[in-house]
Amino acid sequence: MQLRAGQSLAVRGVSGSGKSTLLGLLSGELLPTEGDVSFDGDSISTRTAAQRRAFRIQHTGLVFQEFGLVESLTVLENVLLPFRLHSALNLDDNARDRAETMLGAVGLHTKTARLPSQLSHGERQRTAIARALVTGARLILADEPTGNLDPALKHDIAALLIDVAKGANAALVIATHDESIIDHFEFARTITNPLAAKEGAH
Amino acid sequence: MQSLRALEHACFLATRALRFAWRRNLLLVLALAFAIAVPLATRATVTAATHELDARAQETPLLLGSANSDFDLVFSALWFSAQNANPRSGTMADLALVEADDLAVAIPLALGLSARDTPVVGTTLDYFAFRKLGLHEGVLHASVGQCVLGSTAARALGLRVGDKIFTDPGALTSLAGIFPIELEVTGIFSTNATPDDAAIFVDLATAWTIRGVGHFHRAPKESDRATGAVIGTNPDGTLIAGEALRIENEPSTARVKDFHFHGDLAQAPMSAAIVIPKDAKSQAILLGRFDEARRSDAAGTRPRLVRPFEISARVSERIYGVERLLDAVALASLLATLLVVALAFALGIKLRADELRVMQRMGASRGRVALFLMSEGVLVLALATTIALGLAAAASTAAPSLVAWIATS
Repeated sequence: MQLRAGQSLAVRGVSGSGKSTLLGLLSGELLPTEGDVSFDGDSISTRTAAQRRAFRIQHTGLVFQEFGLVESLTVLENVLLPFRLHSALNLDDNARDRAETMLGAVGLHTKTARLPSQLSHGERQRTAIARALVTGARLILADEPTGNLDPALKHDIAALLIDVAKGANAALVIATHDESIIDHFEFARTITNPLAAKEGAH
Repeated sequence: MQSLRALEHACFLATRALRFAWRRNLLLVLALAFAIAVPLATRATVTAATHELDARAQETPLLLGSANSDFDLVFSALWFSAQNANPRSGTMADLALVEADDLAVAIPLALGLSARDTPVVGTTLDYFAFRKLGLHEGVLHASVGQCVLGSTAARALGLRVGDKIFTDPGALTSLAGIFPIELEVTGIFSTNATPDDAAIFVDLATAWTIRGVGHFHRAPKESDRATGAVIGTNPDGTLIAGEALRIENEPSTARVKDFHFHGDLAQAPMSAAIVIPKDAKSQAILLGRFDEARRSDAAGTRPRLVRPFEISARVSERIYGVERLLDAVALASLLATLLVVALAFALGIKLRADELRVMQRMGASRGRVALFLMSEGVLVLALATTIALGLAAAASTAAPSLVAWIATS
């Protein structure tokens, strides 16, 4: 399966079917026991742990179901967090400008100094989306990004993810078991893990 | 360069994390600070106290006197502790024992007196030169009933030049007899950070007057025979005063000319004397003479010659012994506190396990996350140590009080 820049893919499946595992393989966190994962034609699977970590921080942006924000940092500081976690990224004025731009794109430009605890769930996820894109990532991986949101917000966040990823010319892969948001994405795939199905049969 | 940047980012994240949970971290810092401060403060205070003890003792080559013990003699003569003083340790004639053969100069001290609980020290002008006491204002006392105050005493008593202060009455059990008089302040010494700052200085005649040795009365006249104020005539024609002649103990400028002593001044009391040998050889000779005298003085009533530094060194040794015990207790308490702080820290990290996991998923290495957590620990420790050092420094200013307590205990 191939995904090009600007395209979006939803991966659905029941709990335990391997959606998150697939995202882990795509980000280089996990190694495949069979097959290969390539980015720009280069295999990720053959890289060392440090190289895969560098790949993850430089080329991927992650969005989590639980938002994954650091409670002690403000919205702006959370968005800039990737720059503080890896020496490959340089926290300079460009990075700060980009963070401000991304926060504007997700509609949080007036709340940059707030702490996560002062935000609604939707705002937290918007912050996480801005953080995923701030490094110029070309692959956005979102694991159940609407799992903690009320129905009205789910569609807004799904649409926002697709918009900003497209705007940044990044490919987007989300894992979800929420059928209601599938239509927002260009592609959709279903994982059917025989083991999970067997477990589900009990 | 990259390591420096990593450290800078780790410190940033650590600072934010500490600030976010500031109440919990403040408690950790304070608990740690106090645990570190206790041994530091004990050490600083004891070191400062023993240093002060030794410095004062080292400045005083020898002491002559006969208090209950050498400790009492040293602490009464150097720190003016009234309860250790023996007002009649010897007489002025005893000064000849050390000044004979031109071996030393002796500075007598009359101790055990007080005014509003501030020690009153009778001595000669030599004392001020010996202790390098310079006047901050006013002049030195010139006659009976005048005094010069140490800077701390002046401040504590709220006295200035020209003010007056009554000396304290003696206890009913005081067999030596105390006759309170009013002292006039003629000067105040500059601060010299020694026990002299906390004393009131008078001349020996004033001290003797308070002891009832000297007094004032008008000159008896022939006409006083009728009242019993004159009871006879000396061979030289002077009149012999009788009991009816009114004795005054309250000095005044008008009465200064009437001040006088009866009897031999060589027998006037002395509490102690600072002995300044001419040189090392003179000191050795003097110590030898007094050692011999001490061996033949089974009753121990004759004045002894002691080296204050030897006494203070013995006191310091005992203080250090106690301090070592305190150190062991404090270190055990520090260890216990460290364990509690480490536990609280570990719980704090566990609560943030999700955040830390996200950082790793985003690409942070384990080392980077560890650096961030270590920075938090180091910042807490650094803050606690800074506070502890401040507390220890503050505690060390209590050293003079500790010395005063030692001197009076």
